[in-house]
Amino acid sequence: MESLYLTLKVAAMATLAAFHLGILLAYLLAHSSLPGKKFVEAFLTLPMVLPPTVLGYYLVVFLGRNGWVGKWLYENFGISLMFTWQGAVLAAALVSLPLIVKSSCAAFQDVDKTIENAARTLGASEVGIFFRISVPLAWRGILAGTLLAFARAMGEFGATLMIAGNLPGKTQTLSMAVYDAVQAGNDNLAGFLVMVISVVGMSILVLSGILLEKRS
Amino acid sequence: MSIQVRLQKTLRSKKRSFEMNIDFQSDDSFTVLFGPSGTGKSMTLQMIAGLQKPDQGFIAVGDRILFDSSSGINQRPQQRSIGYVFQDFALFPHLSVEKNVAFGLRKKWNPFLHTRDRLRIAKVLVMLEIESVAAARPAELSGGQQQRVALARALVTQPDLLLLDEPFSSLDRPLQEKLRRQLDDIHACFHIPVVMVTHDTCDVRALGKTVVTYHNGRISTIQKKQKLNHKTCETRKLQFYTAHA
Repeated sequence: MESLYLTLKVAAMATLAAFHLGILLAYLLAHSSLPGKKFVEAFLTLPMVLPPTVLGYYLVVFLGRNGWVGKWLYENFGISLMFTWQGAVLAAALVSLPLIVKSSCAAFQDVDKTIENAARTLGASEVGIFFRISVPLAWRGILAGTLLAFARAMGEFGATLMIAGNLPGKTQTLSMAVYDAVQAGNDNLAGFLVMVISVVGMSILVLSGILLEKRS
Repeated sequence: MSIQVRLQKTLRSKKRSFEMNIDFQSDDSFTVLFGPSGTGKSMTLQMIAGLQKPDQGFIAVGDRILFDSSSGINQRPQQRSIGYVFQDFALFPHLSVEKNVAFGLRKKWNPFLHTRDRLRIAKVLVMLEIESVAAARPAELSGGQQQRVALARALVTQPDLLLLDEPFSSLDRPLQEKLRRQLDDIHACFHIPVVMVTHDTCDVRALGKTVVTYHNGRISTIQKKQKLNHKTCETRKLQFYTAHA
């Protein structure tokens, strides 16, 4: 039960972080025509195709006590993300970010540019257009992406294991608990956890499918 | 109020290159840009509104300079105080008719409207006969109603200039005639100078005072016309229909 609570907490916070960053990046991507756009898109999609362990390795290299960013964080603020649930949040946010960016970017691109121009001639600022036109018209795609991101964050295993470890009660999420249960031969527990994850994942996919269908 | 427009723009793509070189001035309250499609009429409107940037040129409405490439002036579309009725109306599909009309009056970060603005919206809705559909979404309206919402939304901010991009092209003929007359009345009421793009000779006959004819990115003629009455156009069209019946 503890691992279920932790999983939900980590996934929720990771989704929240990825949501804000993802929408902003998606909007900028959808509205830019810079030559480096393809490169940025590829870079943001990378967490989806890299093995999670590779991603976890990058995180350790950057954020470990001896890592570039990690060392600075530890020396100046005494913060270390290694083997903490906050580290798990970071890992989960990173793997779920591409889902939000992809889905929101497509939704923003679907918004008629003439409608945004109409808002411009009526005096709306660029920020105003974002909040009053683009987001309300693209919300289905954004929400569908966010749900997928949440599902992905819940199931995150590899990168989380690398940075946060598998400490029962501290960083042990559901997917870790399944692994432990199977290793320990506790088939009943493993079966129960697998069912929980599957049901949640299935519900989220159905819901996001319905949302996307209504959009088109 | 006079409008001065001098524009140069070259568009190049793999398939074709298009060069636009436009220079006209109009002191009349109703200017029609006339010509076949693809000659740069709509692009002229977009440049006047600041949605596209000319390579070189000068745009002034009255004594306000909106764009001047020689002195580097290029006002943002938000600053230009220009009402724009787009060809497909570009209404905000997620907002009610009333909120569409109110859009340009809402101030930053303030969800509430001034009482004066509320009155103004109510007045415009009545004037354009859309007060009965004020709560409806654009998708629920007929083409004619959508057009009037677009017009109301542009007029309510009291712009210095109103741009109309083929406002009647997506409507059927009998409705066009009625709306043309209505537009004429509204125009007389609001005293806002209009620049309208069209490829329909009926529009030119019914509304144009100064008619700028486009040909291939250039202006072929600028005519000042005495306004003809609607009958001429209607009779002509009647003849057209009976001849083809």
